[in-house]
Amino acid sequence: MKAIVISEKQLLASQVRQVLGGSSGWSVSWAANIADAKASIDNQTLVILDYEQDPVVATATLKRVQEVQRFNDAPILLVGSKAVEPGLKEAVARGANGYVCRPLEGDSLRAKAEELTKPVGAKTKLDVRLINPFIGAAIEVMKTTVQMEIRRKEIFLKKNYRMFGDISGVMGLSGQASGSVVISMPGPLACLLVGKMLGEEPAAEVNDSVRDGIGELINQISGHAKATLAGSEYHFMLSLPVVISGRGHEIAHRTGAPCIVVVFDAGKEEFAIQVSLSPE
Amino acid sequence: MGNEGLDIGNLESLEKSLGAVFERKDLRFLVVDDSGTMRRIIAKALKDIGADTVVEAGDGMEALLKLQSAGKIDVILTDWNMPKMNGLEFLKSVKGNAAFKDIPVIMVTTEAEKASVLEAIKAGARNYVAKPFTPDVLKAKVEQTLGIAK
Repeated sequence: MKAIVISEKQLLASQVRQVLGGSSGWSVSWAANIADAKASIDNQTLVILDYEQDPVVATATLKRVQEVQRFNDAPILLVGSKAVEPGLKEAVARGANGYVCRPLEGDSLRAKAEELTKPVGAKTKLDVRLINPFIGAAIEVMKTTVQMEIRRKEIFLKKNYRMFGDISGVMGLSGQASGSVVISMPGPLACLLVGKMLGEEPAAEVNDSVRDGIGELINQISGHAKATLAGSEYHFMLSLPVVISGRGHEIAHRTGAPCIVVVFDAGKEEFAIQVSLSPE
Repeated sequence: MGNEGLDIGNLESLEKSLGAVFERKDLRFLVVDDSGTMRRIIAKALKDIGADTVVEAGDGMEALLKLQSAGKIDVILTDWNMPKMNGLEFLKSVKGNAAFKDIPVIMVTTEAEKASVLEAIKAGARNYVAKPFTPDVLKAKVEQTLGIAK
Protein backbone atom coordinates (compact mmCIF):
# COMPACT_ATOMS: atom_id res chain seq x y z
CA MET A 1 0.00 0.00 0.00
CA LYS A 2 1.49 3.29 -1.13
CA ALA A 3 0.36 6.81 -0.33
CA ILE A 4 1.69 10.09 -1.64
CA VAL A 5 1.20 13.29 0.34
CA ILE A 6 1.03 16.45 -1.77
CA SER A 7 1.70 19.43 0.49
CA GLU A 8 4.00 22.44 0.46
CA LYS A 9 5.16 21.39 3.92
CA GLN A 10 6.87 18.11 4.61
CA LEU A 11 5.31 18.09 8.08
CA LEU A 12 2.02 16.59 6.85
CA ALA A 13 3.88 13.71 5.18
CA SER A 14 5.73 13.02 8.42
CA GLN A 15 2.47 12.99 10.39
CA VAL A 16 0.83 10.64 7.87
CA ARG A 17 3.90 8.38 7.89
CA GLN A 18 3.69 8.17 11.68
CA VAL A 19 0.05 7.06 11.51
CA LEU A 20 0.01 4.83 8.44
CA GLY A 21 3.61 3.60 8.47
CA GLY A 22 4.93 0.86 10.73
CA SER A 23 2.35 -1.79 11.66
CA SER A 24 -0.25 -0.42 9.21
CA GLY A 25 2.18 -1.30 6.44
CA TRP A 26 1.90 1.84 4.30
CA SER A 27 4.81 3.33 2.41
CA VAL A 28 4.36 7.12 2.45
CA SER A 29 6.12 9.53 0.09
CA TRP A 30 5.99 13.33 -0.15
CA ALA A 31 5.72 15.76 -3.06
CA ALA A 32 5.74 19.53 -2.61
CA ASN A 33 3.45 20.08 -5.60
CA ILE A 34 1.61 18.33 -8.40
CA ALA A 35 4.55 18.64 -10.79
CA ASP A 36 6.76 16.71 -8.36
CA ALA A 37 4.00 14.16 -7.72
CA LYS A 38 3.29 13.51 -11.40
CA ALA A 39 6.09 11.02 -11.95
CA SER A 40 5.02 8.67 -9.16
CA ILE A 41 1.26 9.20 -8.93
CA ASP A 42 0.48 6.31 -11.29
CA ASN A 43 1.31 3.53 -8.87
CA GLN A 44 -0.16 4.96 -5.67
CA THR A 45 -2.91 3.36 -3.60
CA LEU A 46 -3.95 6.68 -2.04
CA VAL A 47 -3.34 10.36 -2.80
CA ILE A 48 -3.44 12.68 0.22
CA LEU A 49 -3.79 16.34 -0.76
CA ASP A 50 -3.24 19.25 1.62
CA TYR A 51 -6.28 21.47 1.04
CA GLU A 52 -5.17 24.20 3.46
CA GLN A 53 -4.51 26.81 0.81
CA ASP A 54 -6.13 29.53 -1.22
CA PRO A 55 -9.51 28.12 -2.43
CA VAL A 56 -8.81 28.88 -6.09
CA VAL A 57 -5.38 27.22 -5.92
CA ALA A 58 -6.82 24.27 -3.97
CA THR A 59 -9.55 23.72 -6.58
CA ALA A 60 -7.05 23.93 -9.43
CA THR A 61 -4.70 21.50 -7.68
CA LEU A 62 -7.49 18.94 -7.17
CA LYS A 63 -8.38 19.24 -10.84
CA ARG A 64 -4.76 18.67 -11.85
CA VAL A 65 -4.50 15.60 -9.60
CA GLN A 66 -7.58 14.16 -11.35
CA GLU A 67 -6.16 14.97 -14.78
CA VAL A 68 -2.82 13.38 -13.99
CA GLN A 69 -4.48 10.26 -12.55
CA ARG A 70 -6.80 9.63 -15.49
CA PHE A 71 -7.81 5.94 -15.19
CA ASN A 72 -5.56 5.17 -12.25
CA ASP A 73 -8.02 4.74 -9.45
CA ALA A 74 -6.16 5.97 -6.35
CA PRO A 75 -8.72 7.75 -4.16
CA ILE A 76 -8.02 11.38 -3.22
CA LEU A 77 -8.15 12.16 0.51
CA LEU A 78 -8.08 15.83 1.48
CA VAL A 79 -6.65 17.27 4.67
CA GLY A 80 -7.70 20.69 5.98
CA SER A 81 -8.68 22.55 9.12
CA LYS A 82 -12.25 22.96 10.39
CA ALA A 83 -12.10 26.51 9.02
CA VAL A 84 -11.93 25.22 5.42
CA GLU A 85 -14.48 22.39 5.92
CA PRO A 86 -17.09 23.95 3.56
CA GLY A 87 -14.39 23.96 0.85
CA LEU A 88 -13.52 20.33 1.65
CA LYS A 89 -17.18 19.32 1.19
CA GLU A 90 -17.36 21.17 -2.12
CA ALA A 91 -14.20 19.39 -3.26
CA VAL A 92 -15.77 16.01 -2.46
CA ALA A 93 -18.69 17.00 -4.68
CA ARG A 94 -16.16 17.78 -7.43
CA GLY A 95 -14.47 14.40 -7.34
CA ALA A 96 -12.33 14.08 -4.20
CA ASN A 97 -13.19 10.92 -2.28
CA GLY A 98 -13.14 12.13 1.31
CA TYR A 99 -11.51 14.43 3.84
CA VAL A 100 -10.14 14.49 7.37
CA CYS A 101 -9.78 17.60 9.50
CA ARG A 102 -6.76 18.86 11.39
CA PRO A 103 -5.58 18.18 13.99
CA LEU A 104 -4.95 14.74 12.51
CA GLU A 105 -6.22 11.86 14.64
CA GLY A 106 -4.50 8.55 13.99
CA ASP A 107 -7.61 6.38 14.25
CA SER A 108 -9.78 8.48 11.95
CA LEU A 109 -7.00 8.80 9.33
CA ARG A 110 -6.36 5.03 9.40
CA ALA A 111 -10.09 4.29 9.16
CA LYS A 112 -10.56 6.74 6.28
CA ALA A 113 -7.56 5.35 4.38
CA GLU A 114 -8.91 1.82 4.76
CA GLU A 115 -12.42 2.84 3.76
CA LEU A 116 -11.29 4.65 0.60
CA THR A 117 -8.91 1.95 -0.61
CA LYS A 118 -11.28 -0.99 -0.24
CA PRO A 119 -12.71 -2.01 -3.65
CA VAL A 120 -16.41 -1.19 -4.05
CA GLY A 121 -18.67 -4.20 -3.80
CA ALA A 122 -15.90 -6.16 -2.07
CA LYS A 123 -18.47 -8.15 -0.09
CA THR A 124 -20.01 -9.58 -3.28
CA LYS A 125 -18.43 -12.61 -4.92
CA LEU A 126 -16.81 -11.71 -8.21
CA ASP A 127 -16.82 -14.05 -11.19
CA VAL A 128 -13.94 -12.86 -13.35
CA ARG A 129 -15.21 -14.88 -16.34
CA LEU A 130 -17.87 -12.24 -16.99
CA ILE A 131 -15.27 -9.67 -18.05
CA ASN A 132 -13.92 -11.65 -21.03
CA PRO A 133 -16.97 -11.13 -23.28
CA PHE A 134 -16.70 -7.37 -22.72
CA ILE A 135 -12.97 -7.35 -23.54
CA GLY A 136 -13.63 -9.40 -26.70
CA ALA A 137 -16.53 -7.12 -27.63
CA ALA A 138 -14.45 -3.95 -27.22
CA ILE A 139 -11.66 -5.34 -29.41
CA GLU A 140 -14.11 -6.51 -32.10
CA VAL A 141 -16.17 -3.29 -32.16
CA MET A 142 -13.06 -1.12 -32.34
CA LYS A 143 -11.69 -3.25 -35.18
CA THR A 144 -14.91 -3.38 -37.21
CA THR A 145 -16.67 -0.09 -36.51
CA VAL A 146 -13.68 2.18 -35.86
CA GLN A 147 -11.06 0.30 -37.91
CA MET A 148 -8.62 0.53 -35.02
CA GLU A 149 -6.58 -2.20 -33.38
CA ILE A 150 -6.55 -1.81 -29.61
CA ARG A 151 -4.62 -3.64 -26.91
CA ARG A 152 -5.73 -4.56 -23.41
CA LYS A 153 -3.41 -2.89 -20.97
CA GLU A 154 -4.54 -3.65 -17.42
CA ILE A 155 -7.46 -4.91 -15.37
CA PHE A 156 -8.25 -3.93 -11.81
CA LEU A 157 -11.08 -3.82 -9.29
CA LYS A 158 -12.37 -0.31 -8.90
CA LYS A 159 -12.17 1.33 -5.50
CA ASN A 160 -14.72 4.02 -6.17
CA TYR A 161 -17.32 4.91 -8.75
CA ARG A 162 -15.80 8.05 -10.16
CA MET A 163 -14.57 8.19 -13.73
CA PHE A 164 -11.87 10.60 -14.78
CA GLY A 165 -12.44 10.56 -18.52
CA ASP A 166 -13.86 13.59 -20.30
CA ILE A 167 -16.71 11.61 -21.80
CA SER A 168 -18.43 8.35 -20.84
CA GLY A 169 -21.03 6.18 -22.55
CA VAL A 170 -23.16 4.27 -20.06
CA MET A 171 -25.35 1.24 -20.78
CA GLY A 172 -27.74 0.00 -18.10
CA LEU A 173 -28.14 -3.78 -17.98
CA SER A 174 -31.13 -5.63 -16.52
CA GLY A 175 -32.75 -9.06 -16.59
CA GLN A 176 -31.19 -12.25 -15.17
CA ALA A 177 -28.15 -10.13 -14.32
CA SER A 178 -28.12 -6.40 -13.76
CA GLY A 179 -25.64 -3.57 -13.50
CA SER A 180 -23.97 -1.32 -16.02
CA VAL A 181 -21.12 -1.09 -18.48
CA VAL A 182 -19.31 2.19 -19.10
CA ILE A 183 -16.76 3.32 -21.68
CA SER A 184 -14.77 6.38 -20.65
CA MET A 185 -12.07 8.31 -22.45
CA PRO A 186 -10.38 11.68 -22.96
CA GLY A 187 -12.16 14.11 -25.29
CA PRO A 188 -9.55 14.09 -28.09
CA LEU A 189 -9.70 10.27 -28.30
CA ALA A 190 -13.52 10.39 -28.46
CA CYS A 191 -13.28 12.88 -31.34
CA LEU A 192 -10.73 10.67 -33.14
CA LEU A 193 -12.77 7.45 -32.75
CA VAL A 194 -16.03 8.99 -33.94
CA GLY A 195 -14.20 10.65 -36.84
CA LYS A 196 -12.86 7.24 -37.87
CA MET A 197 -16.32 5.66 -37.54
CA LEU A 198 -17.66 8.23 -39.98
CA GLY A 199 -14.60 8.32 -42.23
CA GLU A 200 -14.22 12.02 -41.53
CA GLU A 201 -11.71 14.38 -39.92
CA PRO A 202 -12.03 14.33 -36.11
CA ALA A 203 -14.10 17.11 -34.53
CA ALA A 204 -12.05 19.81 -32.80
CA GLU A 205 -13.91 19.24 -29.52
CA VAL A 206 -16.58 17.01 -28.02
CA ASN A 207 -19.90 17.95 -29.64
CA ASP A 208 -23.33 16.32 -30.09
CA SER A 209 -22.06 14.13 -32.94
CA VAL A 210 -19.15 12.83 -30.82
CA ARG A 211 -21.50 12.16 -27.89
CA ASP A 212 -23.83 10.25 -30.21
CA GLY A 213 -20.95 8.18 -31.58
CA ILE A 214 -19.72 7.23 -28.10
CA GLY A 215 -23.27 6.18 -27.23
CA GLU A 216 -23.29 3.91 -30.28
CA LEU A 217 -19.92 2.41 -29.31
CA ILE A 218 -21.14 1.38 -25.84
CA ASN A 219 -24.34 0.09 -27.45
CA GLN A 220 -22.37 -2.16 -29.80
CA ILE A 221 -19.93 -3.35 -27.12
CA SER A 222 -22.79 -4.21 -24.74
CA GLY A 223 -24.77 -5.94 -27.48
CA HIS A 224 -21.79 -8.02 -28.60
CA ALA A 225 -21.08 -9.10 -25.00
CA LYS A 226 -24.78 -9.82 -24.45
CA ALA A 227 -24.82 -12.33 -27.29
CA THR A 228 -21.74 -14.07 -25.84
CA LEU A 229 -23.28 -14.26 -22.36
CA ALA A 230 -26.64 -15.58 -23.63
CA GLY A 231 -27.60 -18.70 -21.73
CA SER A 232 -25.32 -17.96 -18.76
CA GLU A 233 -26.33 -16.58 -15.36
CA TYR A 234 -25.03 -13.23 -16.59
CA HIS A 235 -27.50 -12.93 -19.47
CA PHE A 236 -28.91 -9.41 -19.49
CA MET A 237 -31.16 -7.06 -21.45
CA LEU A 238 -29.95 -3.74 -22.87
CA SER A 239 -31.40 -0.35 -22.07
CA LEU A 240 -30.68 2.75 -24.13
CA PRO A 241 -27.20 4.29 -23.91
CA VAL A 242 -26.63 7.50 -21.98
CA VAL A 243 -23.60 9.73 -22.58
CA ILE A 244 -22.09 11.92 -19.86
CA SER A 245 -19.39 14.50 -20.49
CA GLY A 246 -17.44 16.52 -17.93
CA ARG A 247 -14.29 15.70 -16.03
CA GLY A 248 -14.49 13.65 -12.84
CA HIS A 249 -18.12 12.69 -13.21
CA GLU A 250 -19.47 9.97 -10.99
CA ILE A 251 -21.17 6.84 -12.33
CA ALA A 252 -23.53 5.20 -9.85
CA HIS A 253 -23.54 1.41 -10.15
CA ARG A 254 -25.79 -1.21 -8.67
CA THR A 255 -25.16 -0.98 -4.92
CA GLY A 256 -22.78 -3.59 -3.61
CA ALA A 257 -21.72 -5.01 -6.97
CA PRO A 258 -17.98 -5.21 -7.70
CA CYS A 259 -16.72 -3.07 -10.51
CA ILE A 260 -14.00 -4.25 -12.91
CA VAL A 261 -12.02 -1.75 -14.96
CA VAL A 262 -10.17 -2.70 -18.14
CA VAL A 263 -7.80 -0.12 -19.60
CA PHE A 264 -7.01 -0.33 -23.33
CA ASP A 265 -4.26 1.24 -25.42
CA ALA A 266 -5.73 2.98 -28.46
CA GLY A 267 -2.87 4.50 -30.40
CA LYS A 268 -1.34 7.26 -28.31
CA GLU A 269 -4.27 7.42 -25.91
CA GLU A 270 -6.02 5.15 -23.42
CA PHE A 271 -9.65 4.42 -22.70
CA ALA A 272 -11.32 2.35 -20.01
CA ILE A 273 -14.27 0.02 -19.85
CA GLN A 274 -15.89 -0.41 -16.48
CA VAL A 275 -18.21 -3.37 -15.89
CA SER A 276 -20.39 -3.81 -12.82
CA LEU A 277 -22.71 -6.78 -13.20
CA SER A 278 -24.15 -9.37 -10.87
CA PRO A 279 -26.80 -12.08 -11.19
CA GLU A 280 -30.23 -11.40 -9.63
CA MET B 1 -7.58 -21.23 -70.21
CA GLY B 2 -10.57 -23.43 -70.80
CA ASN B 3 -13.96 -23.39 -69.23
CA GLU B 4 -13.40 -26.54 -67.17
CA GLY B 5 -15.07 -26.33 -63.81
CA LEU B 6 -17.45 -23.51 -64.73
CA ASP B 7 -21.10 -24.24 -64.20
CA ILE B 8 -22.88 -22.32 -66.97
CA GLY B 9 -26.24 -22.86 -65.31
CA ASN B 10 -25.07 -21.25 -62.08
CA LEU B 11 -23.44 -18.36 -63.95
CA GLU B 12 -26.70 -17.57 -65.72
CA SER B 13 -28.52 -17.70 -62.43
CA LEU B 14 -25.92 -15.38 -60.86
CA GLU B 15 -26.14 -12.91 -63.77
CA LYS B 16 -29.91 -12.91 -63.51
CA SER B 17 -29.73 -12.29 -59.80
CA LEU B 18 -27.17 -9.48 -60.13
CA GLY B 19 -29.15 -7.96 -62.96
CA ALA B 20 -32.19 -7.93 -60.75
CA VAL B 21 -30.23 -5.79 -58.30
CA PHE B 22 -28.32 -3.44 -60.53
CA GLU B 23 -31.00 -2.79 -63.11
CA ARG B 24 -33.05 -1.12 -60.43
CA LYS B 25 -32.95 2.66 -60.61
CA ASP B 26 -34.06 5.30 -58.15
CA LEU B 27 -33.50 3.11 -55.10
CA ARG B 28 -35.05 4.66 -52.00
CA PHE B 29 -34.24 3.50 -48.48
CA LEU B 30 -35.61 4.27 -45.03
CA VAL B 31 -32.96 4.01 -42.27
CA VAL B 32 -34.25 3.91 -38.69
CA ASP B 33 -31.76 4.23 -35.85
CA ASP B 34 -31.67 6.44 -32.74
CA SER B 35 -27.95 7.05 -33.35
CA GLY B 36 -27.29 9.76 -35.93
CA THR B 37 -23.78 8.32 -36.30
CA MET B 38 -25.17 4.93 -37.34
CA ARG B 39 -27.66 6.53 -39.73
CA ARG B 40 -24.78 8.35 -41.42
CA ILE B 41 -22.63 5.19 -41.62
CA ILE B 42 -25.50 3.17 -43.12
CA ALA B 43 -26.50 5.97 -45.51
CA LYS B 44 -22.92 6.19 -46.76
CA ALA B 45 -22.81 2.43 -47.46
CA LEU B 46 -26.17 2.60 -49.26
CA LYS B 47 -25.02 5.49 -51.44
CA ASP B 48 -22.04 3.32 -52.42
CA ILE B 49 -24.39 0.72 -53.86
CA GLY B 50 -26.40 3.27 -55.76
CA ALA B 51 -29.03 4.52 -53.35
CA ASP B 52 -30.81 7.49 -54.82
CA THR B 53 -32.53 8.60 -51.62
CA VAL B 54 -31.98 7.71 -47.97
CA VAL B 55 -34.76 8.84 -45.66
CA GLU B 56 -33.80 8.85 -41.97
CA ALA B 57 -35.80 8.41 -38.76
CA GLY B 58 -34.68 8.32 -35.12
CA ASP B 59 -37.25 5.83 -33.80
CA GLY B 60 -40.11 3.60 -34.93
CA MET B 61 -42.76 6.23 -34.38
CA GLU B 62 -40.96 8.79 -36.54
CA ALA B 63 -40.31 6.07 -39.14
CA LEU B 64 -44.04 5.33 -39.47
CA LEU B 65 -44.68 9.02 -40.10
CA LYS B 66 -41.87 9.12 -42.67
CA LEU B 67 -43.36 6.09 -44.43
CA GLN B 68 -46.62 8.00 -44.82
CA SER B 69 -44.93 11.07 -46.29
CA ALA B 70 -41.74 9.92 -48.04
CA GLY B 71 -43.27 8.26 -51.09
CA LYS B 72 -41.98 4.97 -52.46
CA ILE B 73 -39.49 3.10 -50.21
CA ASP B 74 -37.69 0.02 -51.59
CA VAL B 75 -36.05 -1.27 -48.40
CA ILE B 76 -36.27 -0.41 -44.71
CA LEU B 77 -33.22 -0.87 -42.45
CA THR B 78 -34.05 -0.60 -38.77
CA ASP B 79 -32.26 -0.81 -35.43
CA TRP B 80 -33.91 -2.75 -32.59
CA ASN B 81 -33.28 -0.80 -29.36
CA MET B 82 -34.78 2.64 -29.81
CA PRO B 83 -36.89 4.99 -27.69
CA LYS B 84 -40.66 5.55 -28.17
CA MET B 85 -41.16 2.59 -30.52
CA ASN B 86 -38.49 -0.09 -30.84
CA GLY B 87 -37.48 -1.84 -34.05
CA LEU B 88 -39.51 -5.00 -33.43
CA GLU B 89 -42.69 -3.01 -32.71
CA PHE B 90 -42.01 -0.93 -35.82
CA LEU B 91 -41.48 -4.07 -37.91
CA LYS B 92 -44.80 -5.51 -36.70
CA SER B 93 -46.56 -2.22 -37.50
CA VAL B 94 -45.13 -2.21 -41.02
CA LYS B 95 -46.11 -5.83 -41.64
CA GLY B 96 -49.58 -5.16 -40.26
CA ASN B 97 -50.18 -2.25 -42.64
CA ALA B 98 -51.51 -3.21 -46.08
CA ALA B 99 -49.79 -0.23 -47.72
CA PHE B 100 -46.30 -1.09 -46.42
CA LYS B 101 -46.30 -4.83 -45.70
CA ASP B 102 -44.47 -5.74 -48.92
CA ILE B 103 -41.49 -3.45 -48.25
CA PRO B 104 -38.57 -5.71 -47.23
CA VAL B 105 -37.20 -4.91 -43.78
CA ILE B 106 -33.59 -5.55 -42.69
CA MET B 107 -32.86 -5.49 -38.94
CA VAL B 108 -29.49 -3.79 -38.28
CA THR B 109 -28.90 -4.27 -34.61
CA THR B 110 -26.71 -5.32 -31.69
CA GLU B 111 -29.42 -7.84 -30.72
CA ALA B 112 -27.52 -10.70 -32.35
CA GLU B 113 -28.67 -13.63 -30.24
CA LYS B 114 -30.30 -16.51 -32.11
CA ALA B 115 -33.58 -16.01 -30.24
CA SER B 116 -33.72 -12.34 -31.27
CA VAL B 117 -32.95 -13.13 -34.92
CA LEU B 118 -35.69 -15.78 -34.98
CA GLU B 119 -38.16 -13.41 -33.35
CA ALA B 120 -37.49 -10.74 -35.97
CA ILE B 121 -37.66 -13.21 -38.89
CA LYS B 122 -40.93 -14.58 -37.48
CA ALA B 123 -42.30 -11.03 -37.35
CA GLY B 124 -41.47 -10.56 -41.03
CA ALA B 125 -37.89 -9.27 -41.24
CA ARG B 126 -36.35 -10.22 -44.60
CA ASN B 127 -32.73 -10.05 -43.46
CA TYR B 128 -30.56 -9.43 -40.42
CA VAL B 129 -27.27 -7.55 -39.94
CA ALA B 130 -25.56 -7.81 -36.55
CA LYS B 131 -23.61 -4.80 -35.26
CA PRO B 132 -20.69 -4.34 -35.50
CA PHE B 133 -20.59 -4.84 -39.28
CA THR B 134 -18.33 -3.81 -42.12
CA PRO B 135 -19.80 -1.77 -45.01
CA ASP B 136 -19.23 -4.81 -47.28
CA VAL B 137 -21.45 -7.02 -45.11
CA LEU B 138 -24.22 -4.41 -45.10
CA LYS B 139 -23.99 -3.94 -48.87
CA ALA B 140 -24.12 -7.72 -49.46
CA LYS B 141 -27.22 -8.08 -47.27
CA VAL B 142 -28.97 -5.17 -49.01
CA GLU B 143 -28.15 -6.54 -52.46
CA GLN B 144 -29.34 -9.97 -51.39
CA THR B 145 -32.56 -8.47 -50.07
CA LEU B 146 -33.18 -6.45 -53.23
CA GLY B 147 -32.59 -9.52 -55.34
CA ILE B 148 -35.12 -11.48 -53.36
CA ALA B 149 -37.54 -8.59 -53.39
CA LYS B 150 -37.53 -8.27 -57.18
